[in-house]
Amino acid sequence: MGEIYKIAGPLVIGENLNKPMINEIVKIGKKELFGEIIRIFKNRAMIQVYESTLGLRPGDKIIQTQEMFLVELGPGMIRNVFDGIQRPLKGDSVFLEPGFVSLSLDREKKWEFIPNSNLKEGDMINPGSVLGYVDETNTVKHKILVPPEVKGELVFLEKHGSYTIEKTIARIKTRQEIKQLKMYHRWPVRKPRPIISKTAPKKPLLTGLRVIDFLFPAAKGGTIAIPGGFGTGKTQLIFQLIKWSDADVLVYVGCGERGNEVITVLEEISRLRVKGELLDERTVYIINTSNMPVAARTSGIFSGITIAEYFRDQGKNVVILADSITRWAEAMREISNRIGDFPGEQGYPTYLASEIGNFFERAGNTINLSKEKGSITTIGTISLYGSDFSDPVCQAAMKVVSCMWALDPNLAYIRNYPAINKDLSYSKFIPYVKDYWDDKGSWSNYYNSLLQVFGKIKELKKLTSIMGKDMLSDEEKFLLDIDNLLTELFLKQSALIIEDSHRTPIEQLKIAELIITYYNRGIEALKKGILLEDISNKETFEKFMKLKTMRKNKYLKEIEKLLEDLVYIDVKK
Amino acid sequence: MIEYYCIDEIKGPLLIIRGNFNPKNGEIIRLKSRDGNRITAQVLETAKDVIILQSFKKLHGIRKSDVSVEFTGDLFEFMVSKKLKGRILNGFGNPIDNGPVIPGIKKKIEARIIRPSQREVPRGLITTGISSIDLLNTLIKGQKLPIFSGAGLSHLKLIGEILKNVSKQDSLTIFGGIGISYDEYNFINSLLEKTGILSKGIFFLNKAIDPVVERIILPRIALTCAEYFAFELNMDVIVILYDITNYADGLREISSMRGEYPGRMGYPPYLYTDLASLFERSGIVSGKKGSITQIPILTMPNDDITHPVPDLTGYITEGQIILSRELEKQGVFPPIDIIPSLSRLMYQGSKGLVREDFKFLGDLLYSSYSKYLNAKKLKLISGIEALSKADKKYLVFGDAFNDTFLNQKKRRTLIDSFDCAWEIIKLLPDFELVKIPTKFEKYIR
Repeated sequence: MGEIYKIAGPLVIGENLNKPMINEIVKIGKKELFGEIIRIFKNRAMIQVYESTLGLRPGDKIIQTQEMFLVELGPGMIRNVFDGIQRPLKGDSVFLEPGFVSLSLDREKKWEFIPNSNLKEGDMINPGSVLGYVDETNTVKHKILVPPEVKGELVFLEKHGSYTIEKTIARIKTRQEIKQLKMYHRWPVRKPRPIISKTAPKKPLLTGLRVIDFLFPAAKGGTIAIPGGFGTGKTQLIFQLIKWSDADVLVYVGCGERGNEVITVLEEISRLRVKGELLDERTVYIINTSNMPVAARTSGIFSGITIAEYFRDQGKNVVILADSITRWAEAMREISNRIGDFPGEQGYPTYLASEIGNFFERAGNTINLSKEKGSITTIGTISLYGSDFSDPVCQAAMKVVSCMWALDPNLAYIRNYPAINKDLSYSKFIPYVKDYWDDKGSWSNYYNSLLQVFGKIKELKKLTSIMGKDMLSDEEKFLLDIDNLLTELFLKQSALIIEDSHRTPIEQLKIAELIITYYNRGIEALKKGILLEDISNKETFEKFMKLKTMRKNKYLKEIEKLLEDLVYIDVKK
Repeated sequence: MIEYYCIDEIKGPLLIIRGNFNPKNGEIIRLKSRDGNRITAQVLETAKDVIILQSFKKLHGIRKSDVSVEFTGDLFEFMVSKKLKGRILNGFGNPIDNGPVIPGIKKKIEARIIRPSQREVPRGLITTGISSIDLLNTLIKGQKLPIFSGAGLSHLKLIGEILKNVSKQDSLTIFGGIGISYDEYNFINSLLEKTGILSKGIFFLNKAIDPVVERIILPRIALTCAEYFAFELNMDVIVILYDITNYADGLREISSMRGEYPGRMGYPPYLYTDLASLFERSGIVSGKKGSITQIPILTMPNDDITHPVPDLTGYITEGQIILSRELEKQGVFPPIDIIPSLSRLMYQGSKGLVREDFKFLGDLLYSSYSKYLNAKKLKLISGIEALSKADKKYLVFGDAFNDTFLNQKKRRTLIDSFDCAWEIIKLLPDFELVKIPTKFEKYIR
């Protein structure tokens, strides 16, 4: 049997192992701590341990499992909270005890299995064929698929009934053997699940946030990075995305973040309903707080994306939120430094960029093995050092993502949330989502007008920061008022004002139309000699500001009314 | 117990042993030199042939052939007891107040991980008596809210005020002084003698001249103690750790002696994980009445907030209070710069516990103060003539904010802070005043 030769932090060097395999899972010491072989040399192997190694001593035994790290995929994942290696975290003791071993999915719970009525015994079936259905929650309906790499003749399909996941629901005669299929199967996290092909993104991933949907849109199947320093409202933005992203399944990977934050996420989501559906009923949580063992942090992201792929294979639109990529990269750095790898930039391993790519690139719109369409959108946050975008993790992510929402501390300081910096952010999805938006209204028109107005405001602000506001022309002063309105009614969107925390595309288009029309009409009126005080004053400002706390129908009605008023703005009183 | 003479190398606080002893990772080792000098050390790295120890004492004048080694088989433990209240101890948990050693329950000091699903969302106010904290960056029970200061700023005076205020409340204060200078040591001692806060707390003090390893052990002992009082005796515990930069420097010193690859500015790459293992030992857990609230204090080298220590701390903690040299020079105490300061949990954790105007007032003060700063900048560039009437009003408001709201002669109750804030709101331009909802107008007197 293998035994420990050396212990240094989260790394153990084992010796006398029997044909060790790279990425093989081993159990270490009396408590059977979870470990993974990451290097093999001569008669020794380096093992990263997913628990605290305190108390282990050289000579303690190492048991080999002959298996790589696999996640269990099947009913029972939704609403569950797992750690980075998919161990359920729910439990009664206050503190986590090291070395606890438990199965990922509940073996006792019975699920109602409805067989696919189109199948009959004797049929030839392929990977991705639907064997049956299980309604896990009101929102998530599992399709139990034939796992990848299994094909042959169906010799048995279980009848409608309630079974545990260990029950054999189908038998398939393959070339080599008769395979017993259950409601779940296991899959190595490092290996992307096969698909037929990837396609270009087409539909926007709506978030209800104006600055995102309207100016820097996300697309289903896209890759998005959210870099920001601390205190830039990253967490709040993540909350908003969890609440409002229009996804069928959401995988939240809390990677090296705060414990109190995680519980806030869990609590908030469990209470929230969107369109009558509990958000909880579509969410899988993978949680590795900053004080949990560092090695488990490295695997949480891959466990998460594998679970996302499993749901995508069933034809669902999945969003995976990884918060944060930086903590994940740091965990890799910590391990790599301990191994003694030659370090790259800022001590990060030289394979940093390829690992980040490996994660983001598993996103996409796909044609699945079942011939259905599905998508995975990956969103990763990046914790910048001192809000410096030259950070290696940020740069590596920028190479692969198609959309970036850059968070700006200066906006956050003035409580301008979401603190998305318009100059640094970008979205390459605009050409893909243009059709969707233009179908709803003349989006392209307002989009371009907004960009122009923002450009003018930026120049004007540079001027006033030096010269003050007193010598400005009326047109310029009016532009500053417009800036104020844009900030309050378009850019700022607080989660605390419930009515405004989420706006539909129509509402977004309308408010853009209102402000742009107000600006254009106002300038015309000024040119005709109408006084600035008559166009923009305290009352008009207040009238506009009332929109903020209006619900949908009232909001749209009020905008229509304001738009009508604007028709007469250049008429002298 | 068998003793061995097997020390092979001594570098800094580290001792290297060669030989097949197989101690546990983290085991406590007792060393004895021939002249009777006893030293405790801990296993940092262990292999079948080489063991690295860190010594708890300075190793001046030690010969390697002189030292015998005894393996205890135990991990580091600290004895917790109710009787610790009112005591002063060093970083290893030994009394330094001439009192007796306190027997108690043995606890391992390394961080245990609170099961995330067993946590509860932090809730409840802790008033510090400081208006700019209580009203604008409220400290919530179970929160970790650090103070970022700079060398020479009045953070220690601020700690003193906070200590005085929290010890009036029904809670336990645990203070950990890490690598503090002799002056600071004296300041804290005289504070303890004069104010009677000693009886409400436990004080761990490690001076700058004390061994580096003690700095690493101290917060772990302090937090083990906090967990005992909070989760076994159901008390609200407030842990103040000062100065986290000294802690990180200690960690760096040991890391470089071990020959580890350095991360940013020479700090070990696991600094984030290590700091998190301290700061995350706070919060509220379900089924327990107690709570742990942390106020770590650090001095930013060269006032640089992007320095690794404040930077990483800010990522772990739930907000930060930032002290400003500019305000300090203007004679403002406490010199809290409210603009970059933030308490992430203040609204969520105070729901239903504060007056109705709490959020409105906070937002109004924040936005008006930032307008004041803009007006001030403009005045510097273009002179007072460039300012509009409104800008001039902001200047008056902002100066009053600094002088009467931020600047405190004595501690204020929360209601006093509200009153003080409404008093200066009056100075704002009219169009700001009309934004005040009618239901709050009664507060302007």
